[in-house]
Amino acid sequence: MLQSIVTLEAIKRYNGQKEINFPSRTVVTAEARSWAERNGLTIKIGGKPIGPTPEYYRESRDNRIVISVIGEDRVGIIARVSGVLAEHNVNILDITQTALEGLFTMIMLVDAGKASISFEKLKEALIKAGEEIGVRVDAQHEKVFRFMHRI
Amino acid sequence: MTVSIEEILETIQMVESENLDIRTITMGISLRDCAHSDIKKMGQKIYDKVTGYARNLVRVADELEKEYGIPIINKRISLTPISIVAESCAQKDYTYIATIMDKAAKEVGIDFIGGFSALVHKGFTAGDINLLNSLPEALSSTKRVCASVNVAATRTGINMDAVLAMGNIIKETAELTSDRDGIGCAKLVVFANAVEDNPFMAGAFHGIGEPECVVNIGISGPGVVCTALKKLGKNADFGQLSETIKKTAFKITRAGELIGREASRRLGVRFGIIDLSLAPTPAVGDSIANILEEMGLEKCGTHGTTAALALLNDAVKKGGAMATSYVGGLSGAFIPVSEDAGMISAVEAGALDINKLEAMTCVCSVGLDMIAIPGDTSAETISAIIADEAAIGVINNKTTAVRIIPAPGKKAGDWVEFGGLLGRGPVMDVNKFDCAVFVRRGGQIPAPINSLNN
Repeated sequence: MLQSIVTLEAIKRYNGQKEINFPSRTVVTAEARSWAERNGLTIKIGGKPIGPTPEYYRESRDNRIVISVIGEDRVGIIARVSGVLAEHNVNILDITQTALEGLFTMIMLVDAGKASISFEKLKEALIKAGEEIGVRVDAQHEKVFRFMHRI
Repeated sequence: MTVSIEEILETIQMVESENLDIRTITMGISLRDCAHSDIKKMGQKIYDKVTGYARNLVRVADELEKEYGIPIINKRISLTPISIVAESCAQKDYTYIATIMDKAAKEVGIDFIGGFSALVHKGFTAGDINLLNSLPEALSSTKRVCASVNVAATRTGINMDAVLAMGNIIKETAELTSDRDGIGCAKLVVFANAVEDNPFMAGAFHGIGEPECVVNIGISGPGVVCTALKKLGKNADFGQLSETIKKTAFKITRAGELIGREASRRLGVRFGIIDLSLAPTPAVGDSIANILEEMGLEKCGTHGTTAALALLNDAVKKGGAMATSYVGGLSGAFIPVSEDAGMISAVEAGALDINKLEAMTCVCSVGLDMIAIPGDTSAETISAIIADEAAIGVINNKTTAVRIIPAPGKKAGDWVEFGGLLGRGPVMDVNKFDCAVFVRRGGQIPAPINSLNN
């Protein structure tokens, strides 16, 4: 029988296989191709490999995190925050600071690619450290800022 | 840094003090393979399918919220209209299916599940009638189930038999939930030109042209738009107003686009659309009415309100359309009364009445939304209100809806309390003159001519 369309739901049935060859007239949706790529499944159509997944559907491997610290200026804020980062093997790429409506504001860009703990745990540790020294600390993936402010 | 400190602080401020959030991640699930002649077996299939697909919905949404720092308020599910799925059941009462939907929603940890719906804009099948008959009981005996009925479309006209039936169903539902101000009606939407990919409750259902499973995103952010306009001051001209709203809508929508793409990847489900609707909540500073007032109106509802809303709605779409690959759903500003503190205040002050709200629905989605009316309003009057709103939708090629609550025992000026996101609000007066002969005529108001369009 003709296999005209292979959707995301359909491709999942081949989970665990290494390679699958569809007849030459088969259409494989972008979502299905993306899923196959992520799950190590090579798709061929009529014996020929299909092209790469469109960028849009690719998984982001973005380890850059923005850490923001807002609060009253005092001695040791940077030391405390960077202490937490060093402890968990997170590399600081850039630091800027400014005064926003009289408040001390520090923004750190870090690379958590080699971090020893998960993002969630790192965020918790940073928030806790912030609470100890009376400043508000938050961590977010850098991507959200790029997405919102850059075309 | 690849982004500037100003940009980072702007986003943080939007979230912290201007209520920027993603209003909803809604997973649409097709139930077309769940049909069965035995309602119990069908119920089991529905339960298994919904809980299977949506198992990770709440967890993934919570993860994304943490990682990106943008709150995701609601996680919801929309299903294939139950009238279609249940049509081949031997049983006529579909209330059981509503209880199954309720149970599945509870199991996966979501607050609303939509799709207890029927599409009857050109007539009824047996399944449609069974669903309509089951509505009052289904809505009063469940907490999370949302229902919708499409009674009109531009290409078919208005099914006035359905409109009259809905008047009666709304009355019946209100009476069955009279101990809670008729809250059953807050979960029931009557549509004209209903869309298949709407992520917003109570009107969400998974349309028949949709894929097996999909995630749709509803954005939010009236507070962000309001603050941006406030910064402009009183001397900015309309070009500047529009420009500012567009830029703000762009940023809000980009946040939604990012969350949508990531949610889709992590759930292993196709990303559907972003609904570019500015959705208010009862929270202070999260109001559409306040935006209109910021433009220079003393109170929302005064003369000029329709023009202001038209500008807002159009600019949001222009800015948002550029920020996402796929726009869909209702995509327009919502003006629910009980869910918007500014609207409530405008009604209380006497600035806003049901007639002005109807006029406003001509230039925005989605219609007369979350309006409490006196409990003694007749079914015929409610039907006529639905007919008016449907006519606006049908003639103007747009979606309109009515979600109206005839609050039992309440009269104009009294208050109703629904709690949570459904909010609270004053009961609004309706026109006292009779329209029963008109709505009881029966039949179909024919589809309109679309070329001579003035």
